[in-house]
Amino acid sequence: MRYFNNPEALLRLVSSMQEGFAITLTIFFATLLFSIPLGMVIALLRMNRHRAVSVPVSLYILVMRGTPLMLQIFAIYFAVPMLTGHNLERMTATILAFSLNYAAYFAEIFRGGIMSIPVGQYEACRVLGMRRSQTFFYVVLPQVFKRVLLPVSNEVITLVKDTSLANVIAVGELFRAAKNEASRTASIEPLFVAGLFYLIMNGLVTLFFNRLTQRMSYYRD
Amino acid sequence: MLEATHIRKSFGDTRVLKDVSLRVSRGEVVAIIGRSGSGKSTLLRCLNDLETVDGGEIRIGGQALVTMQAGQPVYKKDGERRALMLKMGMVFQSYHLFPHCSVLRNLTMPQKLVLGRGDGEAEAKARDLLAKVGLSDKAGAYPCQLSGGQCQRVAIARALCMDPDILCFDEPTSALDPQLTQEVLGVIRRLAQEKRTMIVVTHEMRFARDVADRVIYMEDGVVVQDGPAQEVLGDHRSDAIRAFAGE
Ligand SMILES: Nc1ncnc2c1ncn2[C@@H]1O[C@H](COP(=O)(O)OP(=O)(O)O)[C@@H](O)[C@H]1O
Ligand SMILES: [Mg+2]
Repeated sequence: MRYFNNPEALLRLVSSMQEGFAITLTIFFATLLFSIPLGMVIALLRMNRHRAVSVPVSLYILVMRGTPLMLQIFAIYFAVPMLTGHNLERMTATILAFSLNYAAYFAEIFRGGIMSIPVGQYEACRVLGMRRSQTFFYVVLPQVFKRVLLPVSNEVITLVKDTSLANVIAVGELFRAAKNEASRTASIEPLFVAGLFYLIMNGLVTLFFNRLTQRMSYYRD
Repeated sequence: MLEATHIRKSFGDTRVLKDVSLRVSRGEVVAIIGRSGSGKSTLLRCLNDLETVDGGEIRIGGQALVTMQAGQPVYKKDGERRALMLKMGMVFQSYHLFPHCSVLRNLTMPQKLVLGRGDGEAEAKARDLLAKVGLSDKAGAYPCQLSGGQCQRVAIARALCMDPDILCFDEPTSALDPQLTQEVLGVIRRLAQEKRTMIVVTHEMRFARDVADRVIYMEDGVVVQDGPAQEVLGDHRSDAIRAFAGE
């Protein structure tokens, strides 16, 4: 053992991984920021009654969910410059790939949530004279929010771990930092330390969603 | 007040309404009775623009919702159509309250969104109507904390908040046990005394006879009888009605 029996070395290891952790956090929050609204838009387009809209969107979802995220990261990082002639920053490509991929998963979760709202809610709004947009924002969306918390929390927990995939295009996130440290010192321990980082982060994510679920338990439907 | 003529409506091959006509004057309470599947709900849903008719005309307060042009039903344009439908109110069998909103917000939200009322005005109206249905103490409660009868009274108050000219009820007590049924019927009875125009689909024959001015009996998508409550349900009621009532 090189680190686990040496607090000082361990502390140095942890602080050397700080930068990687910051990058991991950036990927994580940026992906959520973009993929959740995008997922809602995709869900609505997927439910559009015009097949010219819903069919291409279904295809998009199929491709995003049906191919490895790792491949998508490669594809965006290497193919976009070839097609457009503009180079993409590694982080930009990463966040773009993650957002497009996670939006597809969120879209299907949101679609399930929206479809689970009883038709009676729409009819009540209709006879009260509410517009479709009012119905969506004031009646449907708040109820969908509660219904999708659990599947969304699953996705968010997966995202925490998936950020490590960014290391395939040499983004210096947490896992890459740990891997470099591991090979430099010929020790596996840095990888376990990285694992601990992910675990703690997901502990916090779990706590956050538990709180949110509790906050939303003021009503039953 | 309301005039529907020659309404036709099919779902696929099922002809649910076959040439149904209905007139309701101001202040009149009309009960619609008939076996399950006879088309009562579909008729009410057509009147409230929850279903589009395949044929026929509907006029509300003299204004046309749908008219026949060259043999085809033509509806008003979207904006006018919604404005016209504000004259109608509807109470469903299963309430359809907004579960994520408090009772008070169930009543104020549509007023603010649709009628543009301010917080104060909407709340005053809501509290006024909650008092009327006997639920002043439940303003802060959520629908899941109420009994079925209380939910239905909230739904009635919510509909009344929009000041409809005509209020429709689709079997408002069918999901309730006898005691809760009475508390809801009591509210409707009081509305009838205030001379509100109402159309009530119901299985409560006694209620229909006592409260309604007119009773319509439907069978298989046609109106079989339409007359004063005493005539349709009184001592001289027809064999069809007797059979329906299981006598
Ligand atoms: N949305 C629908 N799609 C297909 N059939 C329907 C639909 N709504 C009602 N029906 C049919 O229309 C008939 C009349 O239904 P309804 O108006 O609900 O009758 P009632 O309210 O008198 O019980 C029934 O046979 C029912 O199955
Ligand atoms: Mg019915």
